[in-house]
Amino acid sequence: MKTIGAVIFAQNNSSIDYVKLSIFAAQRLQSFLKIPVSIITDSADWMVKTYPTESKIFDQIISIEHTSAYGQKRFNDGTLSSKFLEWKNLSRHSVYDLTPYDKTLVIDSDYIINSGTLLGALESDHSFQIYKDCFSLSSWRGTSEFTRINQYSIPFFWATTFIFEKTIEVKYFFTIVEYIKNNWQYFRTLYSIEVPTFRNDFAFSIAIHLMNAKTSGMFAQELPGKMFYVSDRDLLISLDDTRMKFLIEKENYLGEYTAASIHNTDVHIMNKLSLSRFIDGGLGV
Amino acid sequence: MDEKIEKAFEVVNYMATLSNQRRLLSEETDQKLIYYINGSTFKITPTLINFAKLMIDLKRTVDAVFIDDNNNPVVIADVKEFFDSITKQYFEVTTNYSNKFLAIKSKRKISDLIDL
Repeated sequence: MKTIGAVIFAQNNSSIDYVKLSIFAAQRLQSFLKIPVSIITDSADWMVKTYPTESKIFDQIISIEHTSAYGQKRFNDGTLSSKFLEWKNLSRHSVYDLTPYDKTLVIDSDYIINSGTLLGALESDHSFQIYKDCFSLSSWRGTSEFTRINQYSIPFFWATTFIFEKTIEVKYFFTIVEYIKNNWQYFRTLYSIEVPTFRNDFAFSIAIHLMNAKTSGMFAQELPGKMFYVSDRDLLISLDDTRMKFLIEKENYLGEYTAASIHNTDVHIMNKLSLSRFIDGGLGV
Repeated sequence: MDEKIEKAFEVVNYMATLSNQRRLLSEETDQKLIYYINGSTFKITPTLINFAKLMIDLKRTVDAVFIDDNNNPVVIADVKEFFDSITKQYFEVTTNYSNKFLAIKSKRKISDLIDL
């Protein structure tokens, strides 16, 4: 019988405690999807010391080496504050070897499960499922930047959430992702990607394109529905059993927001600093 | 700020929130219309419901082939059971949508709008 479970990556930087976010994400995931969750982290000992009770939520704690290789990225915290921080996102391709499950749901620590939507997808026969379509909770922002990796190029896929099964094709897919990561400047130029920082979404999109023999093939099956998200310029203000409330940035009015709420829907909350404050018991603002 | 202008901006904020909440409610509803069967995915639409009903009317109720949202064929062992299940989910979700849509209309404060 196939084992099914979820995996969350957590590699802390100087300001964001990804382990804390992962514990919170795991609690939500278990309460809605009722599957075991494991964590892949470079801070396993620290986690067990800092969160002795909470870390028991994890089925397995999988250690990876602490690496000094990382990118730098601006992390916005609403519209009026931002920080340049390390962005450790270089291990995603290793999930194939690290996961203890035959079929794995991988989520980012800022992807908050709020429904059972993904449960059915875990029963699907497809060996690789990923979100392509997305929906912004902001009415004005639009999603064109997430349609293709650039205006003239290939479709964009979200590495934030995906489901895979251990098959030979999927193994090669992750080999290609690693190859793209190791030759990022080449692939960035080849696919005319403007941002210099390595990003898993781009690497996955390119790898899917290559797996499809550079056509619109069938390797990646789309996850059902859309990936709902709020930007890091928006703020989380509350989250209960099924409802999340946000302050969404207004267009052209710096520091002003519009309230929005969503019910029974999973949301990618890009403002990790706001999410972190909320988990600490604050309002997230 | 002049009191009238302040009131006008309050109304503008309310209208912006109302409009966005309607948009979110519509997408939320779409997400809830996803239906899984035998590892395949369907969005429940009037077209799917009508097709399932047509299959029943044509007495093709056992091991009927449907094409799912990913264009993959899926064999539905019991079409009547499938039909009952999708219509039940469709009516629940759309009734909830209608109730919330009407409730939103009656709310006059932003805080009430985002509580629905």
